Amino acid sequence: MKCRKVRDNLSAYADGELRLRLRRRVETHLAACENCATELSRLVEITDAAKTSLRRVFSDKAPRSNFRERVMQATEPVRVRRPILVTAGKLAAAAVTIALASGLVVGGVQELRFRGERAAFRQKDAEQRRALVLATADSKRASAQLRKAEARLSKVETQLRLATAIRKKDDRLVEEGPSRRPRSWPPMLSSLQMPGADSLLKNGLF
Amino acid sequence: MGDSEKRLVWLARAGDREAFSELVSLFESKVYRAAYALTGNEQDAEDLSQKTFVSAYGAIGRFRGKSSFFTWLYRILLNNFNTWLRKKRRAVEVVGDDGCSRLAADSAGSSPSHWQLASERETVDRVYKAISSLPHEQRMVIVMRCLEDMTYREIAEAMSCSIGTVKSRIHAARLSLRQMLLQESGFHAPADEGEHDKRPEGTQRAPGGGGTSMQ
Repeated sequence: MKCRKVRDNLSAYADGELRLRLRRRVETHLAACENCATELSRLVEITDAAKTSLRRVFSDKAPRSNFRERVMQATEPVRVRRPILVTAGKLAAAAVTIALASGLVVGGVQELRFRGERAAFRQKDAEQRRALVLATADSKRASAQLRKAEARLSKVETQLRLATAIRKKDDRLVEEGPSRRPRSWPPMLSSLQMPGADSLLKNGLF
Repeated sequence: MGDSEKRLVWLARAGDREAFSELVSLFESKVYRAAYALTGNEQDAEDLSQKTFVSAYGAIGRFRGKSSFFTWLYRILLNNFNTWLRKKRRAVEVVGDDGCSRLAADSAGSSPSHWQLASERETVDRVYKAISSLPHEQRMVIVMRCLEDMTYREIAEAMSCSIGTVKSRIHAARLSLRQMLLQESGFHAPADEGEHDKRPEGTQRAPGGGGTSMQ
């Protein structure tokens, strides 16, 4: 660390205001540099002189005894006194004002009541709308399920018709004799791709 | 900030005038001393102190407690001092020769012998005159550091500047003081009051302890 940088930090070092790492670097330099060490001792001397001087000068300095009272008085809120309305004209004006104000009050109360009713109505309306939306959603869901079930039923009916046709054809073949029977038996059940076809075959329904 | 001080500040923020009055009595001496050190005369110091507390009363709702209450007061004091300086429109010679001599003479402590007393009074006088001659920003940092023992961070908060600025101002102020005093022959530091020895504070304190560290 160079002397110039050390000297820039000497005051802070003397005040104990340097971070540990920088302080150690300064201390290392001071141990090796007599000039900087002398500079430090001069700074410490002037600092102590300033402290002692200021403390001696100001040790007995205090504000006057009623300082606090004066401050609190200065922070009191200012009260403005307003003149009272005494003349007849002013009283009349006051009466008119009061009458208007009372009318406004009645009107205001009624307005408040209507506002309350309107709010209640809006809330009820909103609840009904919400219930309707939910019901509509349920209905749509149910319709979709119904359509899906109908499609499934239609497919099963088609397959059933096909299976019936095959069975009738087989019955005919049985009646005509074994020579007319095809090599693979049953010939077309595998092509049905019908759910439960295996169980139907096992139970002898075909 | 102690618990009782925090409680008083909290109450004062809530509008309790009695609590604020307690805060005034807690800090009036410190604020007055600082104002005296800055302005150099009793009347201006009183006016400045009073204005500081009145401003503080009006602004206490905005005090967030990030710094100590005294640091916050000091910031208000410095703002008021700057306004006062602008109003005066002149370089503040804090204390004239007569005033300085009077202050030094009034404040000399009890010493064992008359010749030592006279010598110390003279030195206190010279050092104080030199401090008074500093540019006001340097004088402020010297007063805050040497009279109030404020850390660099507290000074930075009070002056609304960086810690680096405080560091350079304090260093410059000390170099200026030394220069001024060296110009007068026979400078010797006034005898200490036993609060600290001549070793630097950096070597007295435990590493990292006391005050705010800085780069």
